[in-house]
Amino acid sequence: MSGTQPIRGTTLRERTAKAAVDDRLRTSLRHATDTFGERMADARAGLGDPEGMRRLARSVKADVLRRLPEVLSRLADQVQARGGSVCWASTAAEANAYVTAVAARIGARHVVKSKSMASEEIDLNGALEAAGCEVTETDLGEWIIQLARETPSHIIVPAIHRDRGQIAEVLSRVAGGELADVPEELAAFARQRLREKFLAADLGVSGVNFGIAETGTCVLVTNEGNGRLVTALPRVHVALMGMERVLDDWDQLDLFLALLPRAATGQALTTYTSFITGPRGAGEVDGPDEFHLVILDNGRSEVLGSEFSEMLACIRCGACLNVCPVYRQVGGHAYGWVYSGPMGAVLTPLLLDTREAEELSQASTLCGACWQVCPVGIPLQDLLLGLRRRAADHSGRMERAGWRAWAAAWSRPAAYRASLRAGGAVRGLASMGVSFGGWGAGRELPELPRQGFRDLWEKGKV
Amino acid sequence: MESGDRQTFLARLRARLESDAPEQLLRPIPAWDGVVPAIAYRADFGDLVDRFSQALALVAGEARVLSGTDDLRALLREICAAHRVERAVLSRDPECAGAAEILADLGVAAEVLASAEQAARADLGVTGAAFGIALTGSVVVDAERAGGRTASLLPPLHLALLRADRLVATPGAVIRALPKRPTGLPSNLVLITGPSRSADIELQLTLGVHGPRHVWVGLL
Amino acid sequence: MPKRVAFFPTCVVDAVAPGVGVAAVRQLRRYDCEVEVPRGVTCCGQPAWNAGQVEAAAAVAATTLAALDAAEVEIIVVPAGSCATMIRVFWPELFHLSGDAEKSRRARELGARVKEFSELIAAQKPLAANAGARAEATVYHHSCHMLRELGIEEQPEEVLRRAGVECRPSASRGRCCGFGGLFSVKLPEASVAMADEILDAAVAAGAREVVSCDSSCLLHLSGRAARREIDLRFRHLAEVLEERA
Repeated sequence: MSGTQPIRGTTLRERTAKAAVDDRLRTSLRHATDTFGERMADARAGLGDPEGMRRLARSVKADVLRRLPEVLSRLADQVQARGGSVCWASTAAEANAYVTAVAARIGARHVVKSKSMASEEIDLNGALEAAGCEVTETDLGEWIIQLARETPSHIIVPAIHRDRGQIAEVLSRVAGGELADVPEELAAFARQRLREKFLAADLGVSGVNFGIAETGTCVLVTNEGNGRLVTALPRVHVALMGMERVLDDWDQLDLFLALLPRAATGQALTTYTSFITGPRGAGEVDGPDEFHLVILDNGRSEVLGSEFSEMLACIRCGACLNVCPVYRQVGGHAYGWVYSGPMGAVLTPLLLDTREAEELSQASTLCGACWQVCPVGIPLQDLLLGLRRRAADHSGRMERAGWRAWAAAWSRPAAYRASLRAGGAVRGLASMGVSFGGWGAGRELPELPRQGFRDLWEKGKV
Repeated sequence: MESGDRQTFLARLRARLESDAPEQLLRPIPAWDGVVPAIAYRADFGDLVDRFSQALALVAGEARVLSGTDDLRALLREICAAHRVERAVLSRDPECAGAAEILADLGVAAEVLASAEQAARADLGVTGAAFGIALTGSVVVDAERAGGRTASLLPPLHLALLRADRLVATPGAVIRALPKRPTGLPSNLVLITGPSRSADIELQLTLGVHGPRHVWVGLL
Repeated sequence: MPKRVAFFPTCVVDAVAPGVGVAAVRQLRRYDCEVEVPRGVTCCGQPAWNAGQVEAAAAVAATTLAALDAAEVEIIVVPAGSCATMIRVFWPELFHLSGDAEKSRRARELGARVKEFSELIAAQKPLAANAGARAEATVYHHSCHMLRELGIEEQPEEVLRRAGVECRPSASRGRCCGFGGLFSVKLPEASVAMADEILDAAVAAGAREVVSCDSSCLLHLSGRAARREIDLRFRHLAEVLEERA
């Protein structure tokens, strides 16, 4: 069983309400997001023109996306020029079928994975397990949530919702004995246990941070070393890449490598920045014999060229999560899927056509903090508003009628003034199905004044 | 080798791009002139060796200037004694010349990298580096040059030997100068910036989760 | 300060915070400015716009656009950051989406004449402040649209400082209070948790008063503070100035 199926049957209200009263979660979230926020700000201070770089990155990505067919074509040709294989996966099913076929052909029993949100999106682990493979996540946070059968609650630190005691609990079950809740010891246990998995693995699956079309290179940006191990030890390496994660050349990579780690963790560079071009070379004693790049669409082409096209520029840094005042209170699980925070609230309804996904554009006050930190300058709040417009197109009859009535009254000055008397505005909104019980649950209602501003004005009392 | 249907895949993208893109009134995206200027950093580069050493120290690595073989011997003796090194594995980078003999003198079983399994049994990995990056304290290890990838990855200790004249100021100085054809590139190139780290447990920093716990860079 | 300005009260002020409108108008008059409230203005349409209801928003905004346009003034003053943003930043897009290029153009022209209240006051020479009255320890709360869309960050605190009010730094500076229009009632638990952080930070800063340029933020925060029985006063910047003048 894998934990990456979208949450069904719960409402956004239920999930956020539950999270908002979880004090332990809120403390973890505040600590994590405050820390990342500070580090991100410090790292930006090391750049001469961070605003200029964001603007440039936005323009560059838009340009690349406009030429996406040619760029992907080039990437695929160059990967193959170096002896790699390419799979064009239009759907999750095609991607999963390809990877399981590779696993079957090489007789793979043990698969190790480094971080790939795309793989969680398509539930690759489920497909491999159904085909009889043992799959081990090797990113420490991802391994922890895999063992706990949970979805990630943050892009960079997926297990942030668990404190050290809860993590020790999860790992102790695997250890078959009690582990102390000391981070160093837990990490040492993970190193030893996962090292065994790396050495025994037949197949390594990774994500791709950037695909460089000019040379067919896949760039991986990691800190732990598991990304290198996954792509070095097993005899076959499969890299799964969302089709939009491409750049033309090294110049562009320089820009994006200057932006990504600073935005994600406040580092100038992560510990390991790997450039992978094809399988091992002649004369190299280690490295995979086969390299496969799976180029994944899975709904991204629907977004391309639409009013939401900019969302494809996202580089999965997590900065928007770290500044979002809503995420800060409710955490990643409230968003119900793999992607959370502002980017999740935009991407999920674009990729999933469900009621639960459509609700996500409500998980925002449109404050714009996400836009201001996004290293690629994506106006997430505009996209959220666009999603609300899309959702409004199929809003209920009562809601639409309510807004029509509101507009009819408030577009006529006399009717507007009349509605303000005796709390008419409040009643009007209530008729649209807006429940003011929601207000009163945590707040006192404002006192409605006996005379409104217009009355005072007309009576010359101002 | 190619699987799936490239033509259909790309035709779908072309159709989406040719459809009427909605006019962006609110926050239009400025056109790009095709140039990515060099990244401006707020850093004083001055002496690259100093800059490099400071940057590496910030990420819990250690830089040592090695004026000659005696310095290299002293560093290796220090590492091997402090960490009870019994086995070492060396890459084929030219900078590693002479290290095997010194290690043997110190009673350490030192072998040239021959396989991942061998590297997994070693306590110390010694490699060279094609470049060093002063801004970040990074070394660039090239799998073709080194003869493999795992000497700098599997053992818990990693010593990278870097010629000081291979130090450049910024990541861009390395990246933008890379070959622009797949055949010119090694199968694996890695920028290594200090020891392996994780902050997955309550954001507390732990070193050496999967990769090396200690990283030294000897500047030749 | 021009000799004559139009004043757009906004629906929140009209409905639940008339004192803010009164204070703002009186402040403007202290600059020898004649204030006109165009009869035909209603609401800027933001509640519907934020709910994705373009037609409803455009219908209401059109009425206010026509009335403000007809006023033929150099400057239109708005005592609410989010409404000033709606007009200046979002109206052109709103009318474009509703298919009315002409109104979109007129909105753009009008938007250039719209000033949020504190923005306008900050650009004037300060009036003599009542330096004698001891100012309460105050935290200023930035409302989000005003901060990020209009870029008005330092001016309100500068205006307060000139009036003898020193603002304390707060750990939640620049963070959303959690009102967000219908968000406040659709996701009330999250909304209240967000308010709590702002309130706790204000208390931790030793403040007795929270000042903002948006009455909706103030309603939400004061409503929560009242429920928790937190001893804080909530004032619009215009009310603070008028009290001290």
